[in-house]
Amino acid sequence: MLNFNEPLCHFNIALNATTKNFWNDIYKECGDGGRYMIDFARIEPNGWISRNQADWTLPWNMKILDRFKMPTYQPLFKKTWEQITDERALEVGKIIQKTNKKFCILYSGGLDSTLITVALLKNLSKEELKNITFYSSTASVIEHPIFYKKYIHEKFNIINSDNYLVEDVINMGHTVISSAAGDCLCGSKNWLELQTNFYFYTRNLSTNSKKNIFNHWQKATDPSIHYSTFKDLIISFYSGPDNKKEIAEQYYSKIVKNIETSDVPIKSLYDFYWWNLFNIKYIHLCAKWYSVDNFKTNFDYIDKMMFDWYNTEEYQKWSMVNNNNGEKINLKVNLTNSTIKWCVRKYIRDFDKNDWYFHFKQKQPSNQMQQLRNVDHSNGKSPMTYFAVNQDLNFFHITDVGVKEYVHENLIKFKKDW
Amino acid sequence: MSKILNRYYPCYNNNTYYALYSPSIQRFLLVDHYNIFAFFKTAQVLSSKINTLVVILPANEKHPIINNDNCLQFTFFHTKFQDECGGNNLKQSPTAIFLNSTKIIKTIPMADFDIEERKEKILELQQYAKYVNSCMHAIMLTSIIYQQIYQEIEQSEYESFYFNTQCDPTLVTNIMNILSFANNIIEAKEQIKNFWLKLLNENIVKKIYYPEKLRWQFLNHCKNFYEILETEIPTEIQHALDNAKL
Repeated sequence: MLNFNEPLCHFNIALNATTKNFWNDIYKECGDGGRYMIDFARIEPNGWISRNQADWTLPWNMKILDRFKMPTYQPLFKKTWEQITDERALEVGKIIQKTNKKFCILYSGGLDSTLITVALLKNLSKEELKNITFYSSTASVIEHPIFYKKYIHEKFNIINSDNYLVEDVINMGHTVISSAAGDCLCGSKNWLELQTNFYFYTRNLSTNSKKNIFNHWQKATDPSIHYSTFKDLIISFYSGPDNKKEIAEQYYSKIVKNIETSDVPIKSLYDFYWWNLFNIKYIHLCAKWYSVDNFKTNFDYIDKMMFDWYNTEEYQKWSMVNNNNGEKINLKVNLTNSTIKWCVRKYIRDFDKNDWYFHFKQKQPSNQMQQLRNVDHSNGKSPMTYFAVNQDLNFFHITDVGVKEYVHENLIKFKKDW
Repeated sequence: MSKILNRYYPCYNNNTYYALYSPSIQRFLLVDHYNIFAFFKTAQVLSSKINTLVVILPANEKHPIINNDNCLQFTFFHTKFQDECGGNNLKQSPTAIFLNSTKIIKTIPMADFDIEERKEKILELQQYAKYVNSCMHAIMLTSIIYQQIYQEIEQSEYESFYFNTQCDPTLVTNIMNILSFANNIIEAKEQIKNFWLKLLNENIVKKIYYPEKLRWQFLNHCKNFYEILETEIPTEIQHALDNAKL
């Protein structure tokens, strides 16, 4: 029986073929706030939650789990990326020495999970490395074959991610090492999308606006050029394929209010996009693996059996003081796909000397194995109908009794305050 | 045959051609006028170093004609077509798309060229891509021309579609393996030479039946392969063929 009085820990309004009618029915009776929530979900899935004290109202009562709360901003934080990464690996080594715990890396072959692997290979002894297993598939090999063949193949045990869920890995007795928060530290998908399709997003702007944006575009990572200089570009970006400018304007105002009531400095256009991930999308990205692909686990298990590599105070403090200085993006080539996560690339290349990966690795989706799942993996529930999860890790699907009434009641009451 | 195929293949009155687009550098990297299947294999091999898309380009007045000398100057106006091929982001493995929902534009010089190290790497990548493409054409074409020399491979392939069994590595997959893991052209050339030497050793030196006929066929296959690469047969291979036991 679902308890609708408990606060939610994560939600996602996603309009797809299965859920479209559900949301469209509710939309008709909503006021401005409820309509905004559903309208924005027509542009991108809307599960955005602010994890600090800054202003960000939502239709439902939310609880930010301690593990996702944003640390205090420390402008004088000095540790380097390399230092934090090496220390994180040593932390794993100490746990192995002390408890003989078995760890399993959720390995996709992308930059974040490759960095974890490199850090462990670099800092752990041969004996300690015996406690490391990899959760991967052929898709992971394809993403980084040279590294896989040299450092992983026939050297470590592999659990095939096409056949097992992460919760199965936990049930086998492994603590899983996840890189879910990795994207949030350096900024990723939307920033890349903006600069890849820059001409597309400027195509409908006025001549003056275009001129202004083109003049400043090369300074998108310069903190002396405030993100509001690019307001029209941002609104165009969030207008979606149907050019819903008014919805994008509402989103822009909402996030500006969030930024202005926060104590973390957001200046450049890059900062703006980074903040979207680092604050607003952080919980969604971290919760994604258990909200869409694992159905039998619980938060107690997650706390005990999940080593969320990048979700630490130190990485986050580092992230808050290292925008626009060349650590996250090579500033000489700041508007390309393959210089983002520069610190990660450097750390990996120092170890494996692979210039190809260093220069050309591109961000790719890392949830491909979900496409291989059959219905019997999902305990009778489809991820397509997922709506929310509460702090007892009860999943709310739109097909569950009472969910429609709950959503309906809260969206109707919800008023815009930004 | 359906006339729809004319959109995809170069044929009479139709100059359709192919280009490799690299999302990572946002430029076209390589152009091919011959065969999409060999070109796709090139893209698969290159995926160990960079992800690419095979773009089927209609040669008409709507698009600028690009070639291997100028393709680094061209990009897409937008890449929204990525949604059309099933995902917001591309994977490491290539896919083929037909150009119809965006256009190709000549764009500003690459910012990457402002950094000497990146410039060198991009130019090296382009050279490597050209070499891989020549190798894929050479091995795919000569493999079917000289199919009858390699009876074990032929049998394994037939078994795979007669009995749905697993196929053994073929000449094509062996060359793809070498090119995927070689770090540069020099390494690749050396390993391809060694691959041929091993093949000669296994087929001419060790086999007992009509070695003189086999030697002649191997000589022609090797010649043909290296002709397509526009290089001489390496002296070690020539030497091995000359000294093969008769």
